[in-house]
Amino acid sequence: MYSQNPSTALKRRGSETSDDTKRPRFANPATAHEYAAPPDTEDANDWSLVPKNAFVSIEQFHAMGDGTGYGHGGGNALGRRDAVSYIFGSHDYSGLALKDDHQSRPLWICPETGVIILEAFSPISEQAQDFLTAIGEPISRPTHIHEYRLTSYSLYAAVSVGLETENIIQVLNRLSKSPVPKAVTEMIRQCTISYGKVKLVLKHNKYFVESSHPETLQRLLKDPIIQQWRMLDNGNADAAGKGFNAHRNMPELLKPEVASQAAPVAAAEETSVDKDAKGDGLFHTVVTVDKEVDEDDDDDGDGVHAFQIQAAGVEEVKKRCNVLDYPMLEEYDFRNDQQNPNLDIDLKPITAIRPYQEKSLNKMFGNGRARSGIIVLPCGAGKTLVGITAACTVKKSVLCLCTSSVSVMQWKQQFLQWSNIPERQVAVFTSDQKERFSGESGIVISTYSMVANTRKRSYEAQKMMDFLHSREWGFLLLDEVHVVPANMFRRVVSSIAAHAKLGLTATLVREDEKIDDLNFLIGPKLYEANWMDLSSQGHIATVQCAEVWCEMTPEFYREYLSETSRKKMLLYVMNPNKFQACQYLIRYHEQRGDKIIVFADNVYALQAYALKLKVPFIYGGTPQQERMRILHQFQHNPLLNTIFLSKVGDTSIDLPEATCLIQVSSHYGSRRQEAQRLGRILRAKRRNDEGFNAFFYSLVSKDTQEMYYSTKRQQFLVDQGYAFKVITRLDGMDEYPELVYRTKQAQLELLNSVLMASESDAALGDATIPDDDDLNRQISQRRATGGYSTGTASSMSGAVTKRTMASMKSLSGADHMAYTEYNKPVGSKAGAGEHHPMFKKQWYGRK
Amino acid sequence: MVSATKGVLIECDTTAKQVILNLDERYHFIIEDLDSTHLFVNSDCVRMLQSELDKIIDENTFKVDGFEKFVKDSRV
Repeated sequence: MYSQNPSTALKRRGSETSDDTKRPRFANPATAHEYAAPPDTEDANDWSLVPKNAFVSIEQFHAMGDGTGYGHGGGNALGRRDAVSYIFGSHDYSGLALKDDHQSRPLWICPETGVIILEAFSPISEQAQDFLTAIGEPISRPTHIHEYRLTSYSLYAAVSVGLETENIIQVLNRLSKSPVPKAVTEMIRQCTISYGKVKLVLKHNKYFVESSHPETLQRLLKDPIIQQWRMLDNGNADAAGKGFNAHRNMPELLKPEVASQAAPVAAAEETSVDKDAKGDGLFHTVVTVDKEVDEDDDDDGDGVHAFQIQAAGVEEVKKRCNVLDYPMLEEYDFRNDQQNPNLDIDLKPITAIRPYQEKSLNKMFGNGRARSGIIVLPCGAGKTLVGITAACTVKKSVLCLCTSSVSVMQWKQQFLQWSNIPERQVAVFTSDQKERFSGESGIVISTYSMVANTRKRSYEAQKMMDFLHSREWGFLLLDEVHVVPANMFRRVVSSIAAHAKLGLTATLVREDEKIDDLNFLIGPKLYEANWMDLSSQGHIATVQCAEVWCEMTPEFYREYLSETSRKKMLLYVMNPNKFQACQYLIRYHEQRGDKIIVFADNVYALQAYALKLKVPFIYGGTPQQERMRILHQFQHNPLLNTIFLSKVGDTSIDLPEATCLIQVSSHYGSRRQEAQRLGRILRAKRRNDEGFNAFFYSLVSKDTQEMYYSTKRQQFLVDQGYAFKVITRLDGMDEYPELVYRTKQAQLELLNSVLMASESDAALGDATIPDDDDLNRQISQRRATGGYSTGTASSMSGAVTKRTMASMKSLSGADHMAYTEYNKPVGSKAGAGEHHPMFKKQWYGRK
Repeated sequence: MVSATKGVLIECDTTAKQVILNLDERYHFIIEDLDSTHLFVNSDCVRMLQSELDKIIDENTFKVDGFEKFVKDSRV
């Protein structure tokens, strides 16, 4: 499927067919179209969902142009060498010609990598930012200098929100200090040329392939597979099996919809049709472009053309379009959908939408139709409300999928809180609850694993699944999309008939590079908020981040050097200096009146810390009732200001009281976890108090692997503009009288108990509960160790380990043994097997 | 009989000392373990020691993608 002839893979603008088969875009086929091998080959068929251009990168464009890749500045970009040139080597861009008024333009564009650097202090940076977030992906956005990167995905997203190729280049040129490099313009051209030209629109419950470029439609119509599924304007199915010849005498319909636009469009069509006629007579009459039926449709003024396809063939046509390099944008004309019953849902009048939420929704409902895509907002910035507002706009049946049953309940509660939907119309589908809504439309909230499960199900669950599959959903809401592996998504997306899809997430990063698939499984990223802006506007709390370096004590470090990787981790987590730092920080912040959450991934460490410091803790094995009790106390009892949480608290526990966060141990280099944990304090209740700061501490043992992971974890937040202060010494810690493990003796005892801890205690997990949060945990864990040179992959591969209480009995392996006495007294034989008939009467009679 | 060995005094922090002790198990170059931050070692091993230490310390340092390449390129 991927070994395509470059001449068909690359279409020229305007796509004069006769022309482009003869002349490939690039002279050198090797550079023309190399894509990375699909990372996931087990299911190659599904890859047709991903357009080929998805793998275009800027490197491919350097081979062309004038050889230097710079393509302007007189071709001597590197020619001017001066005293410092040698320092920059091949990255010396001093030869780039600056425009005369470059000072008032805010952009630098790196000709080599296509990275765009924005001076955020420029007076027009706000507009520039809006534009760049639309066309590029933010790499990092600290206070003064922002970096963006153009990728084929981001350009795809730009086209989908209605930007045009030439406009993008023009605006970029206007903002840039030096002329836009040729490689960059070429990349923009190639990536946008075919994207977004074709839309799949559902209107009056008929599927239309729509485009404002008639040539494109003509191209598609020539494809035999698409032809099969085409419906003619009189409604007859253009049955499969009829060849081209059947179409030959079809009347040509050229009726552009908007009267004022009619003339130029028709003219354009005629010329292109003429070209075709010359090129290939056979196709001539097949190329009919049905006029758009819908007169009252008032979107974009230029003539829009469409042809109808059969509902059954939608998937097929979509795949075919990807193969033809015209990926379809999906739009849902929900206002004109009369077949699916409306859902009477509206926001409550008291519900206020924040400006950035409105902005993100604008991107989604830009032209009165619903686009599918992903909205990225920080934790605590009201993703749920965005989802609910979108549901209220579409007003059709909604299927909402989230990661765990806890968040299912939260979504339900939020739906009831923000909208006027009656409770009987909100149904929950989890392993314990299988409801259906009453009435013909409603909301179903479920989890990914429930819906994607392919194993045998209980009768009730199966019935519920049949119900989900049997109907059309107006709107599919996908919460926390980043956690779901691509193949699971494919299963969900392909099995559920939903017209519009919205993905919500805070952190569109994964340690495995599976994020990219989402772009085509759900849709492009529609909006990504700037964390720093939101925090300066008071929507999320301002956070001071700090990394506290704790020295390893010599004894611990000696053991650390000789242990296996898993034990290593336990050693650096249990470092007595870390204990002390943690204790000191807790005390310090309790005195300031903060509410503190301490995170420890490792349950052994969690228990050791919490018991030593006499603080309540919650982990996977804590019973629900106890959890509630502890959380309630934490929220309302002024005497309980600190709790310890294992990673069950990463996402699902919502504690707006918390203002300080201390991280003792964490999941290797997971950037997402770091961001999610920070999210716990972003919604702090007190965030709008004058001068309020929330605190985020990460305790790190010096000279260990933790340093590596810690820096890696911070990358996402650093890119969002957070600065991590490094604290090497906590002042006043030594004077604190109650400090634990002060004596060498105590430290050695601790070391001893750590060394005694079984290998399974050292395991990261909270394996007593299935990990709802990251459905792909095993993979990322394996990657995390693989990425680190000393990690032994084999010891990590059995990622989910059972943790048992370390009692004498279980450590000696006596857990499943029953007490048996070997010297059986005479006559005890009867106890084991069948009773003697003599006893039967007495024995059973008693029961 | 008296034998003279040329040595170097090393001052380091406690963790680096542990690394050195660990290396000593393989190469045996420590002449005298003075205290928690000082060691007296055979001077022939100093270079090896430096490079080994660098390697071990580097393992725990995270590098941003591309930065290393940039540094390498700029040295050319």
